[in-house]
Amino acid sequence: MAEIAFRGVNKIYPNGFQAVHRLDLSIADGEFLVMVGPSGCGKSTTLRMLAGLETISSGDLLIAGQRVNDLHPRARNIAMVFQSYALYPHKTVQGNIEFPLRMAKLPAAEVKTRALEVARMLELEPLLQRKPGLLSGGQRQRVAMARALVRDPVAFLMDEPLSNLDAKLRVQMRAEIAALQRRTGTTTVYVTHDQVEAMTMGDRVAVFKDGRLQQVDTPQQLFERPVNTFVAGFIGSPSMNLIAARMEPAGGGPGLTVAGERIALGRERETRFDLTADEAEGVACIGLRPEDVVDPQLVEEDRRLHGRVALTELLGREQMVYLDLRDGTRLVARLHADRRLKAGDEIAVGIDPARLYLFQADGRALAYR
Amino acid sequence: MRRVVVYMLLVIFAMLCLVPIAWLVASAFKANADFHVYPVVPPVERLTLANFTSLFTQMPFLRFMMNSFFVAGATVILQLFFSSLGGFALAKYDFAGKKAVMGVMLATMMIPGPVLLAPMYELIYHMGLIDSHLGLIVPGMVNVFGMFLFRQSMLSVPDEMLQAARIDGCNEFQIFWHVVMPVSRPIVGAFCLIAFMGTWNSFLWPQIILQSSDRFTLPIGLNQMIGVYEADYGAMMAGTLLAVLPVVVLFFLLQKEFIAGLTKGAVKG
Amino acid sequence: MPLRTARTAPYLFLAPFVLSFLIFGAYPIVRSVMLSFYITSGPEAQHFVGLDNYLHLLQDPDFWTAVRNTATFALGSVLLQLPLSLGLALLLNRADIHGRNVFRFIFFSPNLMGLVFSALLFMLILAPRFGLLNAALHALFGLPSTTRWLSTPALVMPALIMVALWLYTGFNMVYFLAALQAVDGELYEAATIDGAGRWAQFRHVTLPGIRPVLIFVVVLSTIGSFQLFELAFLLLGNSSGPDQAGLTIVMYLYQNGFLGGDLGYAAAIGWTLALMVLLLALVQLRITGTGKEAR
Repeated sequence: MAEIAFRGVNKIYPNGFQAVHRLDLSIADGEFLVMVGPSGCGKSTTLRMLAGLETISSGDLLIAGQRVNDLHPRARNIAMVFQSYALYPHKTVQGNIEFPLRMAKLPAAEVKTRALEVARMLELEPLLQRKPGLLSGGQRQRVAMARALVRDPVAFLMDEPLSNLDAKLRVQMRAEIAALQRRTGTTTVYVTHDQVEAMTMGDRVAVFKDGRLQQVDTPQQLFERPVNTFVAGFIGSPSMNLIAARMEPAGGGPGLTVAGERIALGRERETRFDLTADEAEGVACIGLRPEDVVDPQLVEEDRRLHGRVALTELLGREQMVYLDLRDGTRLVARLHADRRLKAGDEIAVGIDPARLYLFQADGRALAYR
Repeated sequence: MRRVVVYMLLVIFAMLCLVPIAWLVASAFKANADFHVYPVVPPVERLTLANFTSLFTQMPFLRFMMNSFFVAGATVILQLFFSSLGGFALAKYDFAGKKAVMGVMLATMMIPGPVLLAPMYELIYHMGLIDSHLGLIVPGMVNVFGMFLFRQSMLSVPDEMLQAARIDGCNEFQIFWHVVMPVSRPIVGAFCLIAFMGTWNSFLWPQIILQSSDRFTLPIGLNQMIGVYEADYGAMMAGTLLAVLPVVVLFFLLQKEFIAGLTKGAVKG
Repeated sequence: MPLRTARTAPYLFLAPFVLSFLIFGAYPIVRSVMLSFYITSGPEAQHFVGLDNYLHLLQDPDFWTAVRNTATFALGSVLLQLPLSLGLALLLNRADIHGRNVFRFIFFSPNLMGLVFSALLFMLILAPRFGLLNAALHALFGLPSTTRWLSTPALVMPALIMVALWLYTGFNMVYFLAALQAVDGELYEAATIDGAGRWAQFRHVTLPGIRPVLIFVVVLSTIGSFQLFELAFLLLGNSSGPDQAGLTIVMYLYQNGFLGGDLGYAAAIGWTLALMVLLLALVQLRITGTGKEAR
């Protein structure tokens, strides 16, 4: 059983900078957990603490129920794939893969067979006698993976392993890594700054910002029920529109004032949130994904926003329309390409309350139903 | 290994390096009679400047120093000029015979110096430059190592910079002088230090060439003195101390460039 | 016209260098070969003898004494210096050491003194009665304070090696330190995770990583050691020492060519030295080039 648990873990550097604040995170055995966030958010530091390459300032780190804070990386039986692969340049591919096993003082025959097996699994057989310097980026990446795989560790740690690859290769490797993980069933902790990668690969995704864990959930939950404006804006591409708003009754019921216009929210059941709750009064911002903007003809008059087109980007069958609303706020909408628009056009867009997100002044979302 | 042990080892070796030098300094101020009495350091009251005075009165020490400065200075300037120009040509231009030139020069670098002593002496003799400073400076103008050093460094000057200068109306020499050299200041610093040290400390060739004592450079002059004033240890140390100072000062000024220049080629190696 | 001057420019720039190179570089090499086929007395009189100089050299007992001495010096020097300077560099390379630059400067300062002046200094340091070394050895270890370092034949080489060590360890250390710092830190992290202890990391990450510099330093040190002259000559008071214990190949060249006047013989000695050095370098490169591999 290789569950991993961070309990109240902090990381403070000697110069006083705190990279990780009171992290509480549990990773189940066999889970593929992705840690994602902008640079400097603490995800890499957390990974390195897990590996034992960084010390833990306070709090407990447990692997399989055992406190490992002071355990040497060697003894933790984890394997790591670095962003730059860190392959031993003077060893052949075979030498690289065999190295951890040799360090574990396994018998030579076993070392060889295990290495060969893993090489075969990752299609590295023809490259066994080559040195890393003569391999392509994708090949090097696979060697790094092989070196990690061959150890049969309790967990794989991966620090942005795909960042140095070109887009096409990245997509291909994503699928391969995910498939590999399913096959071996080893707990994997994966760090990336790319939210698309996070969403497509992880069983669960942990979103970090400024050293604090914002939310850890399945990709779907993160997408549908972001817990604050940061997660809402970070997950999903293109980003969710976040627009200042105020709760004010409209049309005889609850409503919002957005960009100088009134939006009626109708009966409360239509939204994801409980509008009668006290906290509803503190709404300061709404969130709306560009793809959730609807045809104004489909909604009533009091659920429309009006603005002037600033820019359109044709994406084939759809188009991204950048609207300047009545008070100058920018709204990005993803509309059907059939609607011919150009800069300067005055148009209306429709709001479906069911697709709306409501956030308070401190960024937190209202409680979901 | 514990940090403390590491520091201890480093400090021990540092002491080993510094103690002879410290002894040099102390001995320079030690009266001759005291050498047998106080092998290490004399008590402060017995420190004296007598060695320095006897140094300058017993032999033309100042003259030796002047000679050394003259030869080293002239050699460094010439070497700098030729090596940097040559290195620039090799770095930034393509021309027929370039590979051949570089190959030949590289090959000659492999030949140990002593091979050339005999023919050089013959050559200098026939040029009538025996016992002259020119006999030291002129053969010393060739510094193949220096030229390759400059070449290596100038390779990394972006070609666009040169092209921009050409468009701005510079001729090739102006590009060298106003664009490339200023950018190469660190390597110039390193080179000057290396070249200066090489010439300042050089013994074998001046020993062969120079015959009149008023032409002697410091190494030859000081060495001579030992034969003549055998027991004047104090003066000898004083002279050695003074002889070493210019290099130390120069090094202080150019430390960073020097280390960088030394290790650049080797590490890529 | 810019393009035209650009075409002639490199030739012009190289001209002064190439000219002086031809006169003082290329010509002497060729002339040296020719000289070695003559016996001369001074630069005026010469007398063709074909390969006689070389044949004579092969049977010349003094020459072989010089070769023996020089080889001993080179071997002792390199064998001692290498671990010492590498070891110091390793110590200094540790991340938790402060004052690295200060140490580096101190270790390098002997080299700053220069060969010649260091030799003059050590003449006194090694002096039997009042020299620093004997005084220190006596004070620290109770050893006799009258050891005649430079006038006892068996002690001459050790003394020379010792001084060379003082002079050059810091110099080589600087090279090693730079090489060590160029090794990617992540490789050590990967090795740690892969279960490699300190020694394994040194063998599998550090040594392969600094191999080019290692080879460079060894070959350079060997070539340099074989050309030993000034250090021995000056320390031994412009002589080859007791029982010729300090006679080196270059010193022998100097004696024959410039004290004896036979430039031809000197040239022959020079070329023989060059050949030896070349062979040594090739052997060393061979050994280390096809040496321990990836595993």
